[in-house]
Amino acid sequence: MKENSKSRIQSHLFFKLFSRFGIIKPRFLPNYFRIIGIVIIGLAIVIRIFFPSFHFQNDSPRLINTSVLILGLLFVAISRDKVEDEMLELLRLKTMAYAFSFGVIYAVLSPIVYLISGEPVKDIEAQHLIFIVLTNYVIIYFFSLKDR
Amino acid sequence: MQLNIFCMKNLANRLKKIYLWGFGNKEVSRKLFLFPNYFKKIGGGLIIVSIMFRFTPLLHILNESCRMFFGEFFILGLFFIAISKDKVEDEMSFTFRLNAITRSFSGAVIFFVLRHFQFLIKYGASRDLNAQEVLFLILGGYLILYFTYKLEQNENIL
Repeated sequence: MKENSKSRIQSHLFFKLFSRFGIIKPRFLPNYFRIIGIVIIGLAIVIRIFFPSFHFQNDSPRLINTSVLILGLLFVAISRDKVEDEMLELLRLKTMAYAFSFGVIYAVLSPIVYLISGEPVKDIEAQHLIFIVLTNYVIIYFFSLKDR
Repeated sequence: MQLNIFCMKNLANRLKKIYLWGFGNKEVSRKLFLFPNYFKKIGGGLIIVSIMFRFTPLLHILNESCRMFFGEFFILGLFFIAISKDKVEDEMSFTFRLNAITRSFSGAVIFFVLRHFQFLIKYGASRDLNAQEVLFLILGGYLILYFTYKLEQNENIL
């Protein structure tokens, strides 16, 4: 019985692939990625502000600019702190869960808001959603770190 | 003037407290707000309804807004399954949940950024994905990872 269930689970290549990620400790990027992330965010914002023609002529540069900004935010979000203890890890993971739930609720409710206000229902851009979730995460995490 | 500044500071502090609801305490509790277990069934029902409407000819009569709502139902169904309690909820499943959400979200963001560059290299112009695609990716990844962790834990127990 024991052997049978073990071989049943192991036979799924899919599960084998995912179980390679390891389950107990989440892995974060090294601390210097935070500085890289901040530099990337700064560059993206500078390009946005000082080169307005950059995002009016064509849609692609605007999208790439936002993608780069999102990448910077992700680096800041998932880089390790200098002193990383279990409590901080917990706070980080919990904040991520809350920020993500907020994003889902926002995405689900916004078409209803469009409908109530009488406007045609529009798709939310993925960039918009990811930006909201990451910004929420970074703000909540750093505010609660400051309070600690 | 001083009173105004004091009031503003007070207001800012209150807003901050509301924004950081649940995170202001020195001790972070090992608990997450989760829906009761029967929300798994509601979520499953929503997914089935949205898939049924997707593949029936009735959908062609409906307008674009209604079609989008069925996509929303699908996402909502996945979300309900993702954040409803298991029959046995312990500290290990709390860790699994949080690890799964962090990994699936980070993976989806990296995939999304790489896809932009892939479009750019392939077609010379970038195209935006819509939020439903990204949410589907994140929630799907989360559920796969979470149940894989659970299976692995059961395997270790056996």
